[in-house]
Amino acid sequence: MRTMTETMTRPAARRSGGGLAGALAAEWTKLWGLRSTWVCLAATLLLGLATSVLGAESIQISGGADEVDAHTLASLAIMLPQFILIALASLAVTGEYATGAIRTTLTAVPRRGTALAAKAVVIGAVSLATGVLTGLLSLAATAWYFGDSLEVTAEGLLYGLLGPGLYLALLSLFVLGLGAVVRSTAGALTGAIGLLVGLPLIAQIVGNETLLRIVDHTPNPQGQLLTSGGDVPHSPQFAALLMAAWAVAGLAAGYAVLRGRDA
Amino acid sequence: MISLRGLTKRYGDKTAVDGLDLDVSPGRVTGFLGPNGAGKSTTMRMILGLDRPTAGSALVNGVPYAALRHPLREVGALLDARAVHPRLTARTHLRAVARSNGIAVSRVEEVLETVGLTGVAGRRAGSFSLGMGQRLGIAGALLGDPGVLMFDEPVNGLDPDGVRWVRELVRSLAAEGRTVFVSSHLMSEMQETADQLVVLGRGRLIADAPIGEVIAGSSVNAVKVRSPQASELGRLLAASEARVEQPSTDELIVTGATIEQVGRVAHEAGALLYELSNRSASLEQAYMELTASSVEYTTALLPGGPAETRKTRV
Repeated sequence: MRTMTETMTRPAARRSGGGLAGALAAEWTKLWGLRSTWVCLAATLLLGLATSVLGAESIQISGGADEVDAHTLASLAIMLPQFILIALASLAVTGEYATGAIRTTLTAVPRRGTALAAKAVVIGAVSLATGVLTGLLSLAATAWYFGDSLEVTAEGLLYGLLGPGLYLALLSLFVLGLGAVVRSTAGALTGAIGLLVGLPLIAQIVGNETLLRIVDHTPNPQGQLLTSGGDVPHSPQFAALLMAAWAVAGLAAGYAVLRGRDA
Repeated sequence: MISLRGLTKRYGDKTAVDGLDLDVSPGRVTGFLGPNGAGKSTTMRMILGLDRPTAGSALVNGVPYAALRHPLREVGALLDARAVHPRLTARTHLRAVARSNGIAVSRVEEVLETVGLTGVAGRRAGSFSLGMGQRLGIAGALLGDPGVLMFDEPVNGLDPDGVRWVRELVRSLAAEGRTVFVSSHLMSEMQETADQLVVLGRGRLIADAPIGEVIAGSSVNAVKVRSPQASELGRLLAASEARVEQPSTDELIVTGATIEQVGRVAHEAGALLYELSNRSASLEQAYMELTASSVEYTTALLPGGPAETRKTRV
């Protein structure tokens, strides 16, 4: 232990730094300092690859195909990983509420907008990269199984790589915002899974026309459109817009609560 | 420098902090006392912008906390030791905090050494004892080398060695000209650490005065007299507006009169004295009196009462 005068009278800090750049650096440091991040991302990639392999096996068993698009399995590859990534996104906020670390975060970065933006950029970027990597693994599995009949087009690569990245990034941002609203991991995940799985399932069972139309605009179908390039019930471009709207709505709600309520 | 003006916080119809006006000045240790629920933590949280005041303002160095570009370089706070993600190592936690405010990462090792956690810096904060967590919180507060420091119950969970260390740290920080605002439930600890005392009761300011004045104002300060003529002396003293208790036949406890006055009365009466001594109050006794009256008189400070006369403006 040194005496205080010795350590405290030295100029401690660089004159610049802080602000959004500082907040980003802090979020980045915290994210990678947690083992759960590494576990989540490894599981995401593994599940993406495993489901792609299963999908390829099933295509082969059913007689294969003459021409296989590079992004054939991308829609399948994101199905399970999305649930891991939303947990990661939620934890970035709700994990801090559960542990009390949010008080440290907001003391260091008192501007709520900056604090939330930093989390959003880091989580969004990591989800985007993980989504693209998942697409890449799925593509690799497709190439491995159907190397001879593989058809690679620019459009196919767009849906197969950018599709998963974009969908998972925007979905993560929505859940991050949801986490800032409800401040509880269980709450955020229940809400997100209800929207992703529960609502579509109920709509299917009930068969109500209005409900089905609503479900067409929830995140899950957009994920399918963005990774497959299909155009039912609407175009992938519109699907991207809808996903962006979900992300913006989630973050805006999160910001409003973060700003209005005591930490 | 911390300045509170009319600071108020209401939760529904419950008022946690009620129109607090206070200046916490640099260069000395200001102790922050009050019963549980008096509003101490709420006040500190509002200073840090964690809670939003219902009315009034809390300024640090003249600006609201949230307006500071590098808040941790101006204000260091230990609010509660559990404000750390338990799965982050102590070092990673401090690095993240340093980066958020553009503080050189090399500073992390310095503060770890200052608080004596260098050897366990690679361990997860969740595995720390309460005392180690407290030290980590203090390390975080010191990180930005700030001119204003706030510690909420800093000696909580520390062993006697740690308590002494915090006392010396807090004193040296004030001696360096920093503003140091410390809350504690340990009166004996406060008595040794604080220069200025701020006492809160039911969200209101009960006292803001140098610690010596607070203790001196206690009615527990008394003069003890032992004399074979105790009863006669007691009657004389009681006639001169002093309050007199007679615990035994040859002993008196006199309040409301100085030792000189008691001595003079005894001399003039020709009384034989075995003992004439000052019995001074502890901070704890003075504090108990102050807060008891705050519970008794809930509406306003008594005009000319202890709080009113002792309040000093800085």
